[in-house]
Amino acid sequence: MNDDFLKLTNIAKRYGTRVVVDHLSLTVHRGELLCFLGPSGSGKTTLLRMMAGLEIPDEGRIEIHGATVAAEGRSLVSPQDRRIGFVFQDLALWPHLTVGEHLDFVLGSRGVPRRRRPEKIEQALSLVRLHQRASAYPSELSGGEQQRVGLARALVTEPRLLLFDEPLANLDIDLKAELEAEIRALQQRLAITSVYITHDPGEAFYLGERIAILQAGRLVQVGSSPEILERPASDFVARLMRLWQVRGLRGAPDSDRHFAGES
Amino acid sequence: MRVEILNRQWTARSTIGLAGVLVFALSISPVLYMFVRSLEHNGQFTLAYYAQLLGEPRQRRLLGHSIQLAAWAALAGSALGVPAGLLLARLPQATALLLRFVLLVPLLLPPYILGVVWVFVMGRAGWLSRWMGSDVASVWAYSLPGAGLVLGLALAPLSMLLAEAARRAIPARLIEAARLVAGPSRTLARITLPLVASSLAAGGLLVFVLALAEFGVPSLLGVRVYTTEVFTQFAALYNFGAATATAAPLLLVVVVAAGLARILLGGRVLTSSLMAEQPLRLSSPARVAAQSYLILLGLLMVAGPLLVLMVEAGSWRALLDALVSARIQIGTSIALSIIGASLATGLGLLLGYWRARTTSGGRGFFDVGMLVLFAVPSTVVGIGLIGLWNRTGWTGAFYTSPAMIIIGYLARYVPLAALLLGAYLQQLPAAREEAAIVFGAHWWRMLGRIVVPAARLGLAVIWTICFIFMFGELGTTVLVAPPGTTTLPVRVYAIMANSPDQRVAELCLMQTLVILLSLGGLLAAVQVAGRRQKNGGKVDE
Repeated sequence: MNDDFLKLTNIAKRYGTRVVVDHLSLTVHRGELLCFLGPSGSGKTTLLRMMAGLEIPDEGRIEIHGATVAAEGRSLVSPQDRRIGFVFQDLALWPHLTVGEHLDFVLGSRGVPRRRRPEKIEQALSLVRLHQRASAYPSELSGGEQQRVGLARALVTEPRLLLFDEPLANLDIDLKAELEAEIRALQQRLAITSVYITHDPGEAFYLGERIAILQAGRLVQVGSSPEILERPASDFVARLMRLWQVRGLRGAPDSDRHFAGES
Repeated sequence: MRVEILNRQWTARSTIGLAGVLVFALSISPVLYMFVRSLEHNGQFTLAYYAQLLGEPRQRRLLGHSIQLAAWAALAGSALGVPAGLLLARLPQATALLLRFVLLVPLLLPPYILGVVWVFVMGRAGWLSRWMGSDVASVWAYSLPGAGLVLGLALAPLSMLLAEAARRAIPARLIEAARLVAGPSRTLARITLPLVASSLAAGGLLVFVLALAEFGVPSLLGVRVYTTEVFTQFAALYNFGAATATAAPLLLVVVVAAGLARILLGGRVLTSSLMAEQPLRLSSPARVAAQSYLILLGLLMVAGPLLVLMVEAGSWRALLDALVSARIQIGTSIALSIIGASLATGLGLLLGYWRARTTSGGRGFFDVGMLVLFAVPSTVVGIGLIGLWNRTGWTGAFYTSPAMIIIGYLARYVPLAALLLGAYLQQLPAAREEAAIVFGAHWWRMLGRIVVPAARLGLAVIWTICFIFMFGELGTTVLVAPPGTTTLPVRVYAIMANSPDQRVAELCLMQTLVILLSLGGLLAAVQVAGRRQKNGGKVDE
């Protein structure tokens, strides 16, 4: 069976006259975690939203598990029916629902019978170590716990594809390191094909089996961490690797791990 | 610009499309119908009504009167509302909330109630004349500036809200940077006012448009403007074509003014955010002065009129008698307004949601369109509805039932509900809805389980506003109410001319008390929600 799980072919997206994603092609393998790395405005969030069905590519084709979900300016499969899990940047938790109700709502939306939901909710909350907090509202949770709710919500329906939109961007360094480790362990344990976007090279190299580097909507290099570090494909990639390494050696604060790419 | 998917769902399209069709049938078609009727006579196309309109000096005078009335109202409304809004923006939220509620009351009272109070004080046999021993003020009281002042008082809260929202939207650091090098007055003149100027101008334009469309006050004060002329042409002369043609210049001015207001305000036609910026703190003496001014304004705009009505109404016993005698009209008004407000809020939610989440260029058109529809004079809406619904068949069955009054309410206030809800929903993070869609919820489920709970406070506010406006609606209801069904405003209007002042005052007071009770309930709901939010409760809207 073909090992390609997510296939992007010649994807392009414009907002007005501004090209956000410029004819990008890429394949994500089954069970792999691929990180998109790029500065602000490089098109990585738009790309992720097109995979989720929240945006429609102007050109090109997106295939998930062999089925074409969007092609030539049309969405062929709605976001509801793509069976994906999504961890939003600002988490997008629903303030009026408890942790348990978040998962119940998602399971109900997917048509899971009511009697089977408690067990699934318990499992998902156990995965992210939140089973004691099922009756808490988002405003009653710490930052880390809120992140875990976002993760549990994405996992509860056993999605075939997990998408992460810079979920750790606004966290302090300790919590970020802790959650990075949890995400990596969970992804490896569950072997769900995942796409993770970030502007932090450290995060990308830690999490990604492969890293895809974006510059102004174009894909400039795809490869493993050693490949990119040893054989940067362009001056842009070489510069950002150098910058990141220099800052890392200087022991710069976490915010400085973010490379000063183009804006 | 990333939420188009929320409106692309088939269910969303069909539901919102249906709501759009309903709004077309209820609000747009009466206006279109009147326009078409003004172009025909005995089945033939004609421009005769318009030729007559342009040819008669009287018509030009009427247009002049209408514009003068609206200009006086805009001037008075801005003079009262703008300073109040700028001061409110500098007060802590809790104080501002309470004062804002009090100062909003005139906007929610039917303007003719303020007109009645005006007559009691300034009229021929009013308090002032009795106190001075001669009729010193009635010439002015029944003039265009007098009517403009009454409408300015009634609509000043609109200027106030826009001024406050604009002032709160200025980042504190901009003002702080100016205060490092300039005094308060220079900062106000060179930094604050230029930054809020477009909102202030838009506020003035909105007051202008709504004053132009007002019927109750000019009718009560005997000021001849287009809205009263339209009513006369129809109700007294039963000249449908002339009534319609008479409304045409008015509609043109309304469209131009509403379009200008939209341009000045950008996407914030009716902003509902008054929490955007933590205000710079005023010094204690300045805060006391600001609060004193706003309390005085509240006394002038709210407590004063209430006191006049109470004195004119006489004893509580008389008020009780009036309550008993008007119980059927009060009950009818409350029941019809509850149904109307619920339907208007539902339709407004669907259309407002489209407005909040669309990425299409239709938003500007929607804003202007809804603003114009809301500003169409109530008498014009009423006559259009009669023309459309007064027929044999199923429409006739509606026409002869109280449902016709609800249709009139919806025609007038669904555009307002859609405009307000569009502004409110736009402030809620779209990511929560996208999350629901991505996790498998279909559009209705997303709307019911995510949007409605998140927006429940806004929905309650807008429901109450619709209820209050519908409860006081006069111009359309007086035309479309079927025989045997009378609402409280129609009863008040009917007795104004031939009943003792006391009876008029009693009924106006009754109406005011119902409105104040509704507002009190709303204030309590807002404060409970605010307290929950402060205590880290369940809802963060």
